Amino acid sequence: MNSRHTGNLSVDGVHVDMEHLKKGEVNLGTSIMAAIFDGGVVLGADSRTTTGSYIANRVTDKLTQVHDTIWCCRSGSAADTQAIADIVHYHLQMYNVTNAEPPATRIAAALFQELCYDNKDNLSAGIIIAGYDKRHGGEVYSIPLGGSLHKQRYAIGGSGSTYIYGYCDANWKENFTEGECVEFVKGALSEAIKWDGSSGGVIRMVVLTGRGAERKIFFPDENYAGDGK
Amino acid sequence: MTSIGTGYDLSNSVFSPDGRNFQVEYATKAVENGGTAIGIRCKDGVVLAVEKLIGSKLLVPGSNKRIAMVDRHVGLACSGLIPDARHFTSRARSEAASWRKFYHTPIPVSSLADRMGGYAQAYTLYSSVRPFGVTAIIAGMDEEGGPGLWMVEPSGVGWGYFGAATGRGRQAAKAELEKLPLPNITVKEAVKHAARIIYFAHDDNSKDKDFELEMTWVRHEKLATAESGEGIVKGWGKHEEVPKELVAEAEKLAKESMVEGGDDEEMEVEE
Amino acid sequence: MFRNNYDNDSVTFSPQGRIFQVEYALEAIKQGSVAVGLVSKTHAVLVALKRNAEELGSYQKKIIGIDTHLGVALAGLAPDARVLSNFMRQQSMSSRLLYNRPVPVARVVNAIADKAQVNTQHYGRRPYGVGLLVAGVDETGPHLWEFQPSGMVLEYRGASIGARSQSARTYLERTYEEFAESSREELVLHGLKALRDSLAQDKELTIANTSVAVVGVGGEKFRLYDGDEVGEWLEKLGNVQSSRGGRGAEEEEEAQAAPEETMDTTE
Repeated sequence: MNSRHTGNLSVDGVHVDMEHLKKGEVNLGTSIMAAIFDGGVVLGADSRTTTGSYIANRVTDKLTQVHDTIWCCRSGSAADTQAIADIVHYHLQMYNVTNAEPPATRIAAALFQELCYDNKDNLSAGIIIAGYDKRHGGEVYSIPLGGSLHKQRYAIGGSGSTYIYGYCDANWKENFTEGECVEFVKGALSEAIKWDGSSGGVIRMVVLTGRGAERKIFFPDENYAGDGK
Repeated sequence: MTSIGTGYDLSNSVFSPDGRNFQVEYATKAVENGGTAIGIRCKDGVVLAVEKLIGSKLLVPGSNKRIAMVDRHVGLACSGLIPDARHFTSRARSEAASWRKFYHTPIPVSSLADRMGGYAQAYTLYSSVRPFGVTAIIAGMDEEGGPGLWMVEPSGVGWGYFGAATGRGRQAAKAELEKLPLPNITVKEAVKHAARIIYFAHDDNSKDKDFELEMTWVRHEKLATAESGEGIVKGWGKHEEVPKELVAEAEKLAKESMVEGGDDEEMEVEE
Repeated sequence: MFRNNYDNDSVTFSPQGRIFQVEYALEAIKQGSVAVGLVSKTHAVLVALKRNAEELGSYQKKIIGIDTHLGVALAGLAPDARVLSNFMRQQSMSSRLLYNRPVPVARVVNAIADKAQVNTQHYGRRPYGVGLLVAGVDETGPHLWEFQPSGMVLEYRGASIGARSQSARTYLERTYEEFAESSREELVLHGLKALRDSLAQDKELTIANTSVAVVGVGGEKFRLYDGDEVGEWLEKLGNVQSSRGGRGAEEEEEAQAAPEETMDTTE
């Protein structure tokens, strides 16, 4: 039996080939990240979707809304992460109406974790959750492959993230302004896109603040410059 | 109760021609015979107090507690059929636990009250069950709403309160609660009022019986009073028994106030 | 056929908020013979009066061991008691399996209370027809609980259930202050005296009709004493007939006639 087709533990019993996809499955070979600043949070992602070596979509939207000001960055299997985001979206809507108050970001993170952990054997999903609420301000949670949950001040994920650990460590600062945070995310993602073969296309961002959610987009032929509107 | 004997009051979930559910009304009768229970919502927490009637001197003093812990931040006091109250409490605990499991966070008090209202209501829908002979006072303190006080009745109806009272002495207790400037008092002040009100209600309704006063509170562990803008403290509270010294002091004051009150007039209350 | 329209089942409240079927179940306890329980700081004791259906028949079991630290005395429907005590044994065993410790007395008592309550709220079931005195020892010392078919459980220093139990209760209420400091022996004798007070006029305590059970702190296991084993205690008791004499019987009748505080579940 070829373990590459099962998604199970490989022969050494330890290493799992989580990059492996079923025949024809769409992969988000990806660069995603989110970072907090004073008064909110920024999510960012590249826009490349691949099937093998073919770019299935060059303007993909990997930033997905699950509540008014709670969003997530998806990496891994597109099908899996879309399904998870749909389920969380449903639960957060239900939460909002049954409890007559919007869910906090950590509630969304808990729901994501529950789904990712309980179904870890059948999923290929690395998700970053970012949200803003009045009480807690901007928050970032990361859920890597095994289904653990980590509250962080910024998080990076996807195949492209391996190239920007150093960049982020050197450039991230506490108490960013909104503008500084956008520049930080943009700088990090353009590096990831530069070095990672399966990341590319435009840089999409979502800024979550007390004002609500605002989208930004930056184009490669403009060298990712401009204000993103 | 003019429709007694017309047959519409023999089964749960049946409406009478004028639109009443008699079995639910009868269930509230069971509550009206129970020991008095009250709740006081303050700016920095909530106090629960019950009049635990003692049927026999052979009972172990201080045992057979009537205020239950539902979650770390929620307490529940019941009046009515005690076995029903235990069932109801155990459901409240399950609700709190399942919320924790699902959302990885404690349950807001209003949401718990809401779910318990739904649970009680389900027992008014079928002829195969009877409603709960219980009115529950749910007290808690959460991050978003701060101190919360809710009362759920056998019909499933549930309201939020500044001061709540149920059981035999509820009328007397309500009258006293209305005199308090709620919620603008502290939990420590409310403990004294609660003891006095329970003593007063007892004197008014069950004078001939022995009782024990049982008191708990929910308050934030760290925050002092009036820390936030409107003076209402928010954050997850902790439900626990009121310290013995405070109860003793409150009971002493309560007894003194009873002696003073007794001079004025002899109150006779009929039901 | 029925006394009123509200006593057909346990899912119907009377206009006063009473549940007659549950109250009738409480009456079933009074059909059973008397059982007494009491606790000191070191021991919990159960004593019970056994009945035989006919002169030559055997005596009905009144005390059931649950675990080495726990046992019950019953009054009422014995089969119901067996169901409940089997359930308690299961609880006790799973506590040992899961937590490697004997189950706390209050926990197992609450478990049967919850079980009983459900029977009072759902159609097609009947309340249990038995009262139990549960005596046991755990980390917090010796305990005595009374269980009722309503699902009511209360912790007592001394308690009695069953026919004519009021007289035993009267004895307990008169002497309970001595219980806490009593020795093992004294506690058993208090129990037997309470039991003796509830005997009908023509009855006496014998080694055939008396059961005693004792459990103590510090690892003294729950032990049931029957037959010859209770002889020594009965000798110490001296007079084994009711001490109340003729007048007592009248008192008892009075107590039986006046309905006891109806529905004490309503606290």
